[in-house]
Amino acid sequence: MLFRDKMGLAFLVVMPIALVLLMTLLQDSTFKALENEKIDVILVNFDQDILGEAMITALDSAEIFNVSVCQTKDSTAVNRAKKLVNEGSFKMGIVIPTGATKQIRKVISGEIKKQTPMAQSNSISKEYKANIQLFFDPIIKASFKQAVSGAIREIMAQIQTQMVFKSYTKALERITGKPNDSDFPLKTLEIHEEVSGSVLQSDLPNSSQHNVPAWTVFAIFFMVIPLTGQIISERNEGTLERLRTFPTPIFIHFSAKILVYTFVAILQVFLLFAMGCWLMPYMDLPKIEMIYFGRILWFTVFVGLAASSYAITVGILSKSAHQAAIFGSISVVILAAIGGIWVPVYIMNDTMQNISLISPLNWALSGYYKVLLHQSPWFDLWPEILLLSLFSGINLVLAVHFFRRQKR
Amino acid sequence: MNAIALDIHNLKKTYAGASTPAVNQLSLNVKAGAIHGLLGPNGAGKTSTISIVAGIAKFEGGSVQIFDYPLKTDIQSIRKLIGYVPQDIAIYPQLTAVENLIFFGRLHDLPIKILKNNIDDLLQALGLFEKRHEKTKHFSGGMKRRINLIAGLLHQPKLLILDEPTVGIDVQSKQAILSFLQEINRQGTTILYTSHMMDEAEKLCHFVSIIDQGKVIEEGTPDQLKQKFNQANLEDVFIHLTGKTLRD
Repeated sequence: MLFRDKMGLAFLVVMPIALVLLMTLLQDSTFKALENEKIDVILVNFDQDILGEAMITALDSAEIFNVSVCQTKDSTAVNRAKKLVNEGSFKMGIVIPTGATKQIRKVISGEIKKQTPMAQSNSISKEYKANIQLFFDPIIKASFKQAVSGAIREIMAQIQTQMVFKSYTKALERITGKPNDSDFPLKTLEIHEEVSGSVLQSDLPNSSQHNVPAWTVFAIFFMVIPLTGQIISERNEGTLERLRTFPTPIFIHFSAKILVYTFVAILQVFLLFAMGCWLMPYMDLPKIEMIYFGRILWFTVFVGLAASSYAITVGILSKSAHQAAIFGSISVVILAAIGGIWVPVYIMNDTMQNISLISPLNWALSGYYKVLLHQSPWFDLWPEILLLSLFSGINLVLAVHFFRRQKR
Repeated sequence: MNAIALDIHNLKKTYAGASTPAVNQLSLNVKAGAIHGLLGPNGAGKTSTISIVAGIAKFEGGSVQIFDYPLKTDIQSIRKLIGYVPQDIAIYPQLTAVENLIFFGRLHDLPIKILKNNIDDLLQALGLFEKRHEKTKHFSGGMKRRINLIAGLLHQPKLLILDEPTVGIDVQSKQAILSFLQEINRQGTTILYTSHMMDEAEKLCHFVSIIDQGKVIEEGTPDQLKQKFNQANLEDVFIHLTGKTLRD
């Protein structure tokens, strides 16, 4: 009957295509910003020597900071920088004090003189430390603060090591009389970072990796509209009542509907993911990799079962087409909102992230994420499959139970 | 006609929120092989009674046995024996006549070959064979009624329960349906039938039970009732028993 209902089919196929394209186009720039987001830093450089310059170069080359440099002698610049950070214009501020490079040099050369034949009693203050000041936007998280502080400390340690190395090199030149132009190998130890898997870029999806599965899941669950409409029509036409007089148990009738609509869900996934793979790149949108498509279709069976069984329960519980349409659509919109369809779960606060776990749309999306982002094998999807299967089973039992209770 | 097809004893049914029972201690026997009319004014309890017998409504008291199977405990066996034709046109308008009938026939678990033969025979008998591949939403009221009837007959039930099968249709369709019912009755199908049309019931039924306020108030053959109340036709008997007050 569904295939005779051209409007219903169009609703299930055309609507999600439009939705996926529109949402991906709308959110693409936001996702790109999330992927490539840099930390805005203001650096007040009173030093205006090697330390300040090296710090600026190191921050720039770290590729995670957007550095705005203030080369000044004006001491009020610190307060102005703090104000900008407090206002949120910058995530952090760095102040390199006046004469920091000179002081470090003095400390280093004092140490060298002590350790070489030309050692003299030194008058250099060993207490001196170049106090580099860091201040942060008050609303940023402690973990972020810690990570950024760590990165800055690493840069400072590198600069200091380089300065020590250069000073020792010069001292050796003086002792041996031979010029030495060797440079300190800054990165003799490197951490090689690799993400397991061949396609995976990160734990965070790009706009296509989020929007294609997310709105596909939404479209699958939105089958609640045509399917509840069909059940209400059956009730109004008397066919549902008539089915009570047949020896075939009602759950067979419901199961047949569930299977048909699960097939429709597979069709939706096929179309929408194919669009993500072949059409979206032409629209300057990220491509969906189809290498694990079999796994995606397999997982879709469980998503389809969950969505169609939910629709049947809503149809059985609703007293009219109007009630079914309103309750069905609003409930799916709410489950979509808390399930991370509209706003990805990872940018929600902790409370909402916990609430999202109750949404079957979240379980479905999480399964697709696993395949798209981690290429998880099907058995890694078992938590989502289990939850979706339980949800389907409970809905089918509820539908049969309420259908029996509705006997006049 | 001695075996009992349907035995209803002290049946009671009260709808939620209703102050009086729709069916109140109703007792009735339908003999196997008979066409039995259940006649009564609006709200008398006809549809409630046959809905209970068809297994689509609950009842709180009494007992129902169909061919010796108790309804309470053996509903699955009963479903195989009965055919129910509701007053509403309970078919799928988006499907063709054949598709509708295949759907309903498969719910009786009929093998597809036997089912298709039955469908063809019934469509021929009720003059719908030529229209079998048309969607039923394009059918006239009479054609829909006939498809509605066929959907209840595909598994060749022993007891056919009909709720006003000729309401709202033209004379030709009505005649076709009534002739067909008489034919399948001759072949052994017991028929329990409700109607408001007394002339139709008088011609068709071997026995009638007149019910009012959920109880059987009189029963017998149409001739017995006419004779007993000294009336010219069944409609006059009906008015004599149920009065002229409007029932809404």
